[in-house]
Amino acid sequence: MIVCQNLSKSYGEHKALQDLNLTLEAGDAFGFIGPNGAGKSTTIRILATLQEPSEGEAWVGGHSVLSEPDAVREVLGYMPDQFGLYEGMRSWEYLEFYAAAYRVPRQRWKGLIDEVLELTDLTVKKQSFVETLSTGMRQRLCLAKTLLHDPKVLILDEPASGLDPRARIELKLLLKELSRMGKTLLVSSHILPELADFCNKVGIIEAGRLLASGPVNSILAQASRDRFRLRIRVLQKNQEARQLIEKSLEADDVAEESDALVLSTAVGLEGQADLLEKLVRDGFRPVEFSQLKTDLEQIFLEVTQGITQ
Amino acid sequence: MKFLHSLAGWSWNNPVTLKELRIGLRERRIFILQTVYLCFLLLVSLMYLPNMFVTPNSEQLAERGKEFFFLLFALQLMLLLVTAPALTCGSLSSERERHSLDMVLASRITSGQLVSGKLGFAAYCLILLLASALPLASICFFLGGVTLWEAFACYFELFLFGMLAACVGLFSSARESRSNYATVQSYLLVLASSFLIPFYLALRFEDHSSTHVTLGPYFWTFNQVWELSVYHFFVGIAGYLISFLFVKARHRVRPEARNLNAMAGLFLLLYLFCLAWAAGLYSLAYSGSNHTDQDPLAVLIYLAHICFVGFFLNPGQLESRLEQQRFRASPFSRPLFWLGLCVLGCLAPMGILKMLALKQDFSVWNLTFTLFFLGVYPLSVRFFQRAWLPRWQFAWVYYAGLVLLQFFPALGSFSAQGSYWRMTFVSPFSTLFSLADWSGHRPYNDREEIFVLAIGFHLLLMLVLGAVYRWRTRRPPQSVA
Repeated sequence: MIVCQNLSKSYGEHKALQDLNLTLEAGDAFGFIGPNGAGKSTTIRILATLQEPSEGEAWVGGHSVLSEPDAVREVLGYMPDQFGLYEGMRSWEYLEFYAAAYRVPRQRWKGLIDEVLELTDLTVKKQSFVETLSTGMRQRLCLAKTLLHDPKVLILDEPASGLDPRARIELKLLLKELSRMGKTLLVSSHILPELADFCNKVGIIEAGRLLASGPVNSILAQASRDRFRLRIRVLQKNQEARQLIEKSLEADDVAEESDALVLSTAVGLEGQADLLEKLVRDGFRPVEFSQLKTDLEQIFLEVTQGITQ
Repeated sequence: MKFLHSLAGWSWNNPVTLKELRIGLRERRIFILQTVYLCFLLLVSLMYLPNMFVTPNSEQLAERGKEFFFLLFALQLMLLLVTAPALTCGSLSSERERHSLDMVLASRITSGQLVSGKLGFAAYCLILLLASALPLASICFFLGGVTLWEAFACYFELFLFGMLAACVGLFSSARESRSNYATVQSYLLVLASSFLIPFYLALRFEDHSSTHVTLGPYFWTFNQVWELSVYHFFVGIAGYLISFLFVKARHRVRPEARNLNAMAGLFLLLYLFCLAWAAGLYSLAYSGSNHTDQDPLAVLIYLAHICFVGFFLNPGQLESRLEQQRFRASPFSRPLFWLGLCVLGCLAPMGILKMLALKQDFSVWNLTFTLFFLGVYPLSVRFFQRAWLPRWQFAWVYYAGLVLLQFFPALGSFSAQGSYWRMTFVSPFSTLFSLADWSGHRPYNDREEIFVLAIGFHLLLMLVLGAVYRWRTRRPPQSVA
């Protein structure tokens, strides 16, 4: 549904995007992760036909963003990271404007507007002026306008930014529902655990380069195949225990988190069992010895180097 | 059908216009604007009206009616020039400021629809203002002196100039990302152009048959060929400028090759309009006589010249690879096309004169030198651009300097009897023409000498610029290992 081939974008000497290759199938939910200035928004703007790549080519829904931009806009719903609504318009008028903008036949406007308002839980705000809506409601209204023309592909740039926890949860549920409906989603976000909840693929970008990309499970498995993250808590003699752990597990990145030690090690299960036995034998009285699951945040930290452009 | 559908999308069925009307008419801004507009007109009318009916003579009464009508015309023209940019100068820049433009551009609304929608809102507001002032203007119909045709022509012109001012605002708005900058820029542009209004309102022309012809709306009777033709000329030029600014604004929203082609096409249309205008003017005004006037010819040559130099100074530059390819495929991207146009620009006026069997004294010298200068000027400017300053603004300043150089010999074209305005000052080429014999003026007896001097000057200039270019772009000698 989305194909990027050697996509590059330069602003003079500065290369915002370098040789990005990406393929998303229909129904995929892709989480696009990267620090500020990594090239996420540039990629998204190219896919939304708002910018043209300096090199390479991209296709959305089988249409080239270069030579068939209008066909791309027909199948694409785009929600930018920063957006403004037109004050002085009612919610239904705002949606009507975008229904006309997407050339939806006039006779379908009313039914569609009611449908998307219901989907985004804004039916009660149909007659309200947009300036009276809360930030979360505005976000949902913007998402409603993105869904009006029933696009096959949805590109959402930081959809959860500026939302309170409740609104974030509501948005996450909505995105899950859209994913279940078979839409192809490309979502960029800083809130990685939320992406992991509903995305089946992720891509990590830094300094204009796509560092890792693929199904979430395979990336997680690949990251946790060689190393283990452990959480160990003992009741007494913390410092001595730490020295013993560092020595036994050959770990040099031991961190303290609320009376517990969190570390990463390449030592296998046998070595870990030996350590536990030694801790008990030496009288450290361990109360917690657990393996932590590797999450997206961990992978993100491991893959990226904190380079900013 | 496709054309009709497209036309509907741009005009009455444009979602952007509907949205702007919904938002705009809910605000108090339009209401306040209309109130101030009408109050001002009413105030001036009340000051004028008491003196209006004291004249018993019906002819004088009609004269007073005409005066009152054109007083309202002048007032409305100035008020529209102030209000119209305010309707559009924040239209696109405010969309950028509130981050809503990207969402509109990512929808299926075309850049043309977006810009025409914003302009459509301004048009509705202008019609509202003009229509609300109609009852006040209708007082003059009790007095007489103004025909329905004159009133219609004046209102059409008011609307056109209002739209032109709105287009200036729209262009500034499309150009700038901040509404404040766009507002200042559009008002500066309108203010600069407004200095011409007094000249326009009371423009006096004299033709060589010594019949005084008075132009400008106040004096118009629409009975004379001259008056009508100048009216048509101004309407045509205003129409061209509106279209040009519209396409420029559209290009700023989304740069496309079709906009560059449209701009070049508009140049051609303007040129054809001027040709048709001059031909019509000559055939109507001078048929049967052997008299010729150089002014319309000078206008034509000036316009052809602007096309050519404009292309050389500011050739189409598009970021998009695809759009670059598209533009390269069009004939407008080829210098030869513009060279051909300029040759046509020189030959066509002579063709008109010949076609109308009017007297002409076009020597081979004139033609040769004019063609020579048509080539030398843009080349000289390009050399300057490459040699010194690549920015096109500086190139324009340099070009203006060249024109000023030609202005000095043109000073000799001032008549000894009176220094009335002539087209000879608008272009170096028209200056050359003015030096020819057929205008009746001959300030320089040895015009060949001037031509040779001018050519020598330009050749020297280009040699110097070429040398500077070579010196600035020289490569340091590579060391041999």
